[in-house]
Amino acid sequence: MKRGRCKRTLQDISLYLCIGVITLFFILAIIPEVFAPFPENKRFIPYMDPDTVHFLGTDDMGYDIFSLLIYAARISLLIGFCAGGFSIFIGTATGLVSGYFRGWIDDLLMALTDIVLIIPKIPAIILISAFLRPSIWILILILGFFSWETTARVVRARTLQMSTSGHVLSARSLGFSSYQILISDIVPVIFPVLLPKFMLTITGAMISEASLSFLGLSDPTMNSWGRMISDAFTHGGFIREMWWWFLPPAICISGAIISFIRIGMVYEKPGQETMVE
Amino acid sequence: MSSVLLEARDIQKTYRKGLFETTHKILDLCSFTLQEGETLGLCGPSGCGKSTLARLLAGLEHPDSGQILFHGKNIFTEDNLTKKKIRQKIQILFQDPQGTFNPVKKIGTSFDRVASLYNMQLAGSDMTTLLTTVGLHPEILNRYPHEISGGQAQRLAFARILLLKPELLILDEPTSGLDISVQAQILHLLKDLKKKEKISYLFISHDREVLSFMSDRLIFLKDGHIFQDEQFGNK
Amino acid sequence: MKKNPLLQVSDLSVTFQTNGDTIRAVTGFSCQLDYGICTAIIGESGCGKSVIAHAILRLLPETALVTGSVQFKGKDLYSLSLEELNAIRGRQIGIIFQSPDRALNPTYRIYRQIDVPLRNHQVVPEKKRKDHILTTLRNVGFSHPNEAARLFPCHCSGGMNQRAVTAVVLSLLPDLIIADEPTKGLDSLRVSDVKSSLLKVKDEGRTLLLVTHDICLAQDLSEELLVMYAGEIVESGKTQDILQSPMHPYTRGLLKSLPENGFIRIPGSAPSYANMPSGCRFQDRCAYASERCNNNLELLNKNGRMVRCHLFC
Repeated sequence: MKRGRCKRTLQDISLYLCIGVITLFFILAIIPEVFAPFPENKRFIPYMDPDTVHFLGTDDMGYDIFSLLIYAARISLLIGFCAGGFSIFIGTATGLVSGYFRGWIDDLLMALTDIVLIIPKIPAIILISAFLRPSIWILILILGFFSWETTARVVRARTLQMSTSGHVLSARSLGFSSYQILISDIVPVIFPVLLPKFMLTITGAMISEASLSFLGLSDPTMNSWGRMISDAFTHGGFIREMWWWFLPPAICISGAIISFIRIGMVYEKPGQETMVE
Repeated sequence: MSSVLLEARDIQKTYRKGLFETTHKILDLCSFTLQEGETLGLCGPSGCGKSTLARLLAGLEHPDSGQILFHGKNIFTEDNLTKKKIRQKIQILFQDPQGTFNPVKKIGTSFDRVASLYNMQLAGSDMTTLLTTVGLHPEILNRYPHEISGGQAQRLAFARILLLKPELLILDEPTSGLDISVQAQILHLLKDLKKKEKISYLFISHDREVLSFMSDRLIFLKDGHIFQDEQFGNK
Repeated sequence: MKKNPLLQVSDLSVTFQTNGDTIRAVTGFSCQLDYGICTAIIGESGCGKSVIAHAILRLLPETALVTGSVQFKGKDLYSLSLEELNAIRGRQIGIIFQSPDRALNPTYRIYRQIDVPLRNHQVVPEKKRKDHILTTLRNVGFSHPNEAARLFPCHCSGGMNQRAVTAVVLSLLPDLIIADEPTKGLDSLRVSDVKSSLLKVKDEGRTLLLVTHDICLAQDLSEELLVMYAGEIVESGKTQDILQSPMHPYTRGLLKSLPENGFIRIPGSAPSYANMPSGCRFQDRCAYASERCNNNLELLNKNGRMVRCHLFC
């Protein structure tokens, strides 16, 4: 019994820690000016080592890396959230309509989903990014578009199960419309499935953005954590072993991803007891 | 002489089963009538199609052919407004009472939603009166479905239906999953409120003793057909 | 020569901790199962009888706090290692759960469902295993065991699955079989299937512990009866004695709600397990309740019958 309690407390601690990390990043994203010692575009002597003024030194253009790190939070999180949100919204809507109404609309939507599933994502993202003028909103659209299909499949499966369940049948007999049933009776019940999926799409978008930035396919003027690592690589940070340039953004990305995933796991409770009559 | 409330004419329903689409005719030319004010018992073994018939009569599924008439009006072919009104008047009580409530929401929200759907003003005192009628305490509205017993859930489902003031209640094995002592309570509740609320019942069960306790008249469902039983008087 | 009891449960209490509430599911349960006797535990849903069935085999989740002792053939089941316990589970104590369709693995044929545990426990030598399986299938009522063994659960009717589950449990030749609510939600045809399976279990000389809310089933199968209410035993004794002349007001009320007695209801409902009243737990619904019902009461011995009621002090 005691072992179970210890385990639960550790899980709670990890959850609060992760919520704290994300909250911190959010605050940095909303009001970076308060925390960053210098504005993004103020230039100093380039390639400086970390010291008391510049905590993480300066990059090749002389910008203060610590300030850049803070300002980058906004872009990275924005991309993650918007792409994730877009993906979840389309995926959920598709899955709900498919699973609840069945028939020809189910066939049509699932066919579309299959087509998107088949497209190889990374090459497609690279190609489209290469052809279109890279901008943050194009990036968000692309990243969102290539991740909704798994959500749609999962939501459809759960909706299929739910549509024959007692409370949905009951709601239909009481006269509720399909829309009302989907929103009030099905979505709240499948929420434990949606939340982890949302977190995973956010993290997937962030990683994809970091990868694209690293490959140089994102907007060069867009300062994100991924871009910082990319700049470090292309502008001599790796050769000069300036770990304070590329390591902090990498840690920030990893920290954000781990925290999002931990939050997504909040509905998993291994200690949950089941009442036996 | 009471009038015909519900009439089923030549209902047919076929299910397609399995990968190779074998068809199974579960209801074959079923016809019967239900008089206003009576409790009609429908008997039959498990899996014979009683629940399917219940769902058809409640308008939750469409028959392949045949008509279902409520006060003489076909419940599937009328215009949307009439259909909605009919839907309100025919209600159904299911076998798994806790399953009829949204598992992640409190019981009270279900009542509020129904009230707002039909533009009813539901004061706290109205709710208290309603719950007292079915023998429950208002504090049960703060509980979740898994926190209440089967008997309590069935009373709540019944109370929720009473909000709509139905004329016909289809009871699909309402006490099959309940204990004997709880069953006795629910059966008495249904009987007591029938006259008071002026509802007619279609009581579906496999239990002959329960049916003979509740019903004024009995019909059988066997091999997809309805068979009449002789009238047997009931107090 | 009187044998020691097969199963001796002493002062068993089970408590669950959920979200700040302490649920006392079972309080002070004691019973003794002798060889070859069928004992039934009856009571409403939620009275704790299924918890007891699970507690005997240590099948309760980790969050359940269990006190008291469960002695099987003289060994305390709660002091055994998991390995020793697994040797007992199935082989010496079998359990038939509700909903047999869910107890069977849908991807195995009936033959394999019986064969695998048989092999694990090494009940019969390999050469005799096939015959043993077919004999068991015949014993539970399959007239063509060879064909039945080749079926998958989805091809069998509910009644056939019921018999298949009984066969799985019986094939291991356990001394004690626990049947947990075997007829819940079933119609009369299926109930008689279950009844005949359990009668066959009795015929084989096994000891049966029947946990049910169906009084008629308990009447037909059991010799000893335990009546439970809100986690406690309220009356116990010989089945025929209790059913013919019930003593405890709850038992009386339960029998009155039977169809043949007119579905007469007991007013009110069971108390909340998180807020159990002090004293007699049935007093809020009892027609004979008085001041002294607020005091706690032990089981009283009245001519071989145990009853927990102030009316019999």
